[in-house]
Amino acid sequence: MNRARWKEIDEQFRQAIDLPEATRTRFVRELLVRNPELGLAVKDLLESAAEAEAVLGESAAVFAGPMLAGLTDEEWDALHPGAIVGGYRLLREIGRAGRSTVYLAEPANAKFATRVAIQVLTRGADADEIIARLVHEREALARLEHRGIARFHDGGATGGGLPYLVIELVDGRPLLAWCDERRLDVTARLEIFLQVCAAVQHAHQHFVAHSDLTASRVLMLDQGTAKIMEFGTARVLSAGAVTTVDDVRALGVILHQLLTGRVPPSAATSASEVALAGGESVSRARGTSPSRLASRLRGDIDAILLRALEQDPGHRYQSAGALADDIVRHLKHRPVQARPASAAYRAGRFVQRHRTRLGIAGLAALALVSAAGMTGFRLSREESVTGDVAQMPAVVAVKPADDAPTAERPSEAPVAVQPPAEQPRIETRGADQPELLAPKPEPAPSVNQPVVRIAAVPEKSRRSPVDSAAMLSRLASGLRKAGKNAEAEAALRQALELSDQENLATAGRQWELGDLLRVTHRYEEAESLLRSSLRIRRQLADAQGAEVGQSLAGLAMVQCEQGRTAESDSLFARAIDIYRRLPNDAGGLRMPETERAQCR
Amino acid sequence: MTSPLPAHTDGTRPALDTTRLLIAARIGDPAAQEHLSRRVYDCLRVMARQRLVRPGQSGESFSALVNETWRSLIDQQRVGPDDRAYFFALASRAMRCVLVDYAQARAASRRASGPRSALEAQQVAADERAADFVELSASLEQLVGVDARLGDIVTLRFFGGLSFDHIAEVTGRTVPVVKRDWLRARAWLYRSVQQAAESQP
Repeated sequence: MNRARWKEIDEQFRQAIDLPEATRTRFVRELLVRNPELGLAVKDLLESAAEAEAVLGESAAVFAGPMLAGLTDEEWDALHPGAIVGGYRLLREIGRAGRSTVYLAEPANAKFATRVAIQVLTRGADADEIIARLVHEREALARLEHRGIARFHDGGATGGGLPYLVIELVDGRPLLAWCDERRLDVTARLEIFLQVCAAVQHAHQHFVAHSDLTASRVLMLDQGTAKIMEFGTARVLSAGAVTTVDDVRALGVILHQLLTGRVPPSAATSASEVALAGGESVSRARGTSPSRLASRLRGDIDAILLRALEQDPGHRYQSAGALADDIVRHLKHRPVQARPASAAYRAGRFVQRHRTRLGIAGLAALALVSAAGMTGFRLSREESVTGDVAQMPAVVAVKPADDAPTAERPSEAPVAVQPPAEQPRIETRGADQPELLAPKPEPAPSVNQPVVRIAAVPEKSRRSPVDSAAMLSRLASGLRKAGKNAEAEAALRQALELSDQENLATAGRQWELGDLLRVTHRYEEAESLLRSSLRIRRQLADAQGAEVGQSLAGLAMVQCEQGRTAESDSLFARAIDIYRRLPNDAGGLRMPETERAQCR
Repeated sequence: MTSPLPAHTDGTRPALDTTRLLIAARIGDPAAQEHLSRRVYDCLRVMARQRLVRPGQSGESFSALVNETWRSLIDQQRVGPDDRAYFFALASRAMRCVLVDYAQARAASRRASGPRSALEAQQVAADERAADFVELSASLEQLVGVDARLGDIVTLRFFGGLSFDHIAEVTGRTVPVVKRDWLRARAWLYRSVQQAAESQP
């Protein structure tokens, strides 16, 4: 019905409805005679008016009433293209992730304005909480401005009471796919990774942690800029304390994926091993061969990843910046912080003499030997199972000069030796271990162990069994700390198989395995291992020294748990007696008095 | 009664800010108009879901919701009659949007198969009414195109739940004129919906 036609009809209609009932009938009848078409239309409208009163009533509440019943919240909340959320008009759905749906949207009022992505959460009991957090965090999130972070614009509740976030629309490829498509080599990948670290560091400096950082949340723009999605919002959307070091570990996972194509396996396999196992497809995407890729990662990168992925937050890199710094050091061929350790300083001389035979891989392993040697000397029980390199205050010592290519370093390359800043007293003994100073090149480590081959060493020819054993026991410590007792046990057993000498390192491993077996209630073998470790330590170390005390306490625990209280108590007494005489600064020693008391 | 959105989506004190928005919107600031619409819509929608849609909650009139929005969002000490008129017209439109959005959501989720139980029969009836409601809204759009004044009356009366006195105040017309306009508009609307229904196969 056009406007003119409506005016014509309405004119008559208006007159008619003002008339009383009887007169109105006559009015219509006359109109029908005069202008039948108009008359019919007016008659029609008058009838409609009567019906409309009954059907539509005075308020839409009457007419809408029946449809309001029983619609579920989800149906009510369903957002359709055209719906307005936070001043933006939704254009279409562009993705779903977890409990949120992401829409493409444009400002409802402004033309030619930048499009955004709007993430709307599905209904949950915690919606109100999330909105409250969102309102609380909004300003901090909106302040976060960095080219590497997808911008958060706004957030709040939709009309339906659902939390929503307005975020920068990023048209990018997922990080891993982007790098693979371009067959970026390790160095190029590290450089991109540094961008990601810088963005994370920026956010951390503004007191915002990501809390759910994954490779899929890093998008690459065509020109090579990395953008991290959902910064800070992940934490808002799911409550729970997170710290920046959680993000550091997440960065470690991303780095691992970037370089090896896999997430870090649960068993502590080094990245180089994972890369090697990844085969052709992984290395081809990195423009190299499996063995070259593995050797590129071996050493610095393995160590950096190990440190970033530490289960214990205290032992990780303490910031994204620290992780990035180490990568920069690596790229500049400077010594990286992640590589242990102080004893390597002393090992340095040895390395200089034997570098040709040891090769580069051996260099890394040597540094680890010193760390593994430590395990036997940590005397408090919790401490002793860690065998943790990062805990040691000294810096990495041995690293070739800048000009030497990492993989095939000429034997005459100078070795830069950096003395450790501070040495715990106890370490000195570790360095004196005979195995460290006089490694036997044979036999080669067995690779056909029935146990999982954890981090044992691919290059048999280069690495001595001593190195392998040390590395294995260090990995065992990490595994145990991660609660992976079975894997830790496998690694330790393998390490002990390689330790064919009765020396302090072997004794330390025996103690560790014994303690692990105690925890898993295999007391008989635990006791025999602990007795052996005690015997060796009594012979080779100070009979009143910390090592002996540790073995004594370990044995006491085993007997205690078997209910042999009298024997246990006397062993505890001897251990405590030893501990009392030790200097206070002897490496965080803790007397097992509590345990003793519990056993009585 | 306080606002149903205690911490408004922008975390500000709603009464103060919305009042300022209203004044700016009434003078013609487009950004303020947009913000105000959004806020009133949000507010009405939350109330609608709490009070209209929830089972066992019925009989609430739309005018109660619109009036409550007015009381909770606006500091009435600081606004004049023009602001009030502007607000109620805007709130009525917002209420209409809320209902239309709801009806569209409902129509979109319409059950495919025929009813199998009494409950489902009720659901199907509701879905059908939702579809009718969408139709009604489209007819109203047509009416606005043909006679904007009548369209306004429908919005204020039908969706905003305003009294004739109040509409007279908002539109600056007399009560008898408003009443007659409403009858005309409603008849037109009904006829239009019917015709749409008849023209469908």
